Amino acid sequence: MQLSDLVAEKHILVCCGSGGVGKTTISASLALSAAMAGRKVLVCTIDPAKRLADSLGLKELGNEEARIPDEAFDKAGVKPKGELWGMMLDSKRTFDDLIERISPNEETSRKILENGFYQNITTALAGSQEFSAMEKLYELAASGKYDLIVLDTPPSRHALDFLDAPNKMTAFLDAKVIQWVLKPYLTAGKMGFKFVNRTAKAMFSILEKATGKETLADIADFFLVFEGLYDGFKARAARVRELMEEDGTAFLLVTSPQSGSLSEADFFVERIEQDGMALGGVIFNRVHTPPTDLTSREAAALGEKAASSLKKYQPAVEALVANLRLFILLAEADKRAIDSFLTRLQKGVGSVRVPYLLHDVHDIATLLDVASYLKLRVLRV
Amino acid sequence: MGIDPFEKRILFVTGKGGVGKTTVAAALAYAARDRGMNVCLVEVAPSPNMRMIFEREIPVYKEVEVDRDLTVLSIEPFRALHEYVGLQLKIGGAARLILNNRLLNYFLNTAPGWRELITVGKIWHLYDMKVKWSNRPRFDLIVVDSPATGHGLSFLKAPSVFMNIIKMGRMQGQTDDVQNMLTDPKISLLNVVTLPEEMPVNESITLLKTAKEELGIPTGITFVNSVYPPLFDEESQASYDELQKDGKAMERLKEVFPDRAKGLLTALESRQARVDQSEFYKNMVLDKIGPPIVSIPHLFPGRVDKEGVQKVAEIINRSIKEGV
Repeated sequence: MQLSDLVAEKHILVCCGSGGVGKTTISASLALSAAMAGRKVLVCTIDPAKRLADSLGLKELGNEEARIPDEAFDKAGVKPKGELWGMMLDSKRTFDDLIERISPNEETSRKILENGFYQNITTALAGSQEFSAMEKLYELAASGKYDLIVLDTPPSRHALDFLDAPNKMTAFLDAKVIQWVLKPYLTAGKMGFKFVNRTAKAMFSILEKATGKETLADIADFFLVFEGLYDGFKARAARVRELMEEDGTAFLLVTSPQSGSLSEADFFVERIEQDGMALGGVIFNRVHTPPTDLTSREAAALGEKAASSLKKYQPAVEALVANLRLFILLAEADKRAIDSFLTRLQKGVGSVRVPYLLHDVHDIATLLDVASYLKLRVLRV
Repeated sequence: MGIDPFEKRILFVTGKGGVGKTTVAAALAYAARDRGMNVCLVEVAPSPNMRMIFEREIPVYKEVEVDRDLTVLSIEPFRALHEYVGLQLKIGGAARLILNNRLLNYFLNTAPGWRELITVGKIWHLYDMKVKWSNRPRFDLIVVDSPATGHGLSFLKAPSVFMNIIKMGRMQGQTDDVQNMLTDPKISLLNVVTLPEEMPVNESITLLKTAKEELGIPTGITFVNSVYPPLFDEESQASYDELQKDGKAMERLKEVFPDRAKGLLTALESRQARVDQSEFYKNMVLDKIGPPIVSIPHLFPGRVDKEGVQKVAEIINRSIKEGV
């Protein structure tokens, strides 16, 4: 399937990739071109560049979706046939909303939201952002408001972190195991350690010594309240997971041609195939395009020829030729890296190359430029 | 320059993915080593770049002397935890028994945050280590190649997060020690690496703001990596100005290259645009973050190797001597 088909037909596109490869820009361009073609599209982003967010009016959005205003399009001289919506994900709010949704009553949700342990796991600790991105995606997809949702995944070190988040979070919050660990502790608090088995006793005394009584009490309190919510939580995480495997969902891998980024990409491709999810395509971003057809060696030979017939201007000619060779070498290195990556890629997975752009992508007009490199035909009205 | 990074004991090097953190961390390590210090270069997550630079496998959690007076250590949280518990209980066997406990393993496999904490804890341990039979520190300087992801500084934040969770007990005192190490301007310095581009620069601004305001970690040098220097120096600029005025010579140049030297001129334009972009964002760093700044020119090939790193080390040493 071509990228343009995915954008026209899928309901969810998840853009993955390691940090610094331009995921946000690519996500926004994909969403924009679908909106131009007539779909109602939401781009859900985590941390857009300030100028891009400003120009799309995403500034004050918080965790709510908002329609990108007509003025933003007017400036680029275009009119979308569909609608483009945007939002910035607020991880903590998403978590809180979820707790409120699965709590049977206000008291339960309040108890959890005020728990110190809960506050720490939702805000400060690794993995919570990935988890809430998936949760929000599920909520938005279930609302049925959009033809297409493009999700820009959090800037994690590894593209894989995103896929692991729901399982990790569910396992972490598993009430059964926790019960087993902490019930004796809670009982012990009331009745002494009499009924607690020896290993557990040893562990609690070490944990207590190490972390202090209050810490364990906080954790125990949290799990005691959360116990009743766990099944709901787990069921939801399972549905999120199912959504990832649906036909309407495709993953797109965004990568730069740099070796570090590509070796991450290798892991990601392998993993996504293992997990039975669909890799829709690969987008190579910030690719150096050759300034000429010459190889660097040919350029050097021509350079010598030019320098010898223009002796008077030798310093200038040498600098010009050295610079030409630099850009040829950059393009050659990128091409080699990409070609070798493509040989490892499953047949039928499409790929596109977006050149290294000399200007920042910060508004509708420049996003449309990117869309054209993504080979997305955009009708300009 | 107001700050001499080599007077500190721990240099954290952080920045967005793909900006050249590992290169700068390794270069700082070499720069210190070349000043006669015994240096430990720490990675907190295995990176292919570190292996490319030293052209060798770097085993997990094993100190490797990759060069004279330069040790590399790849910290792995589980191994660090084993070491920690062993040290705490003073008996290796008991530590193994406890760590093999199913319940605890469940916790360790799923609980977020402890990896970051134990990693910083291990850095504290390295900092605290002494040469045998003496009071001299084992390493004069520790350089940490530290990831900046998601929340930016999750790993430097870990001690303060845990200080909120852990309210008393032995671990609280230790977490306190680690936090004191991180916030002591005589010991620690947080350095950031950025590219002269919009996103990395903006993230660096936010990251340093968080470090200063929320974490109280002293901030040091901003490294602007991959800066394109102007193509022409004084001599070649004068020569190029003359060449442009000489119509015949320009014709000759265009005859030599195919497409009337279109590629040559496109490459010149691309270069100019990058030089301008580099300049613009370097100024933004100066304006929004302020000195000290070390700019590192774009080095080709893009592949990092030891030679390239040593070149960067020279640039760093020169910049610091000249005062940035």
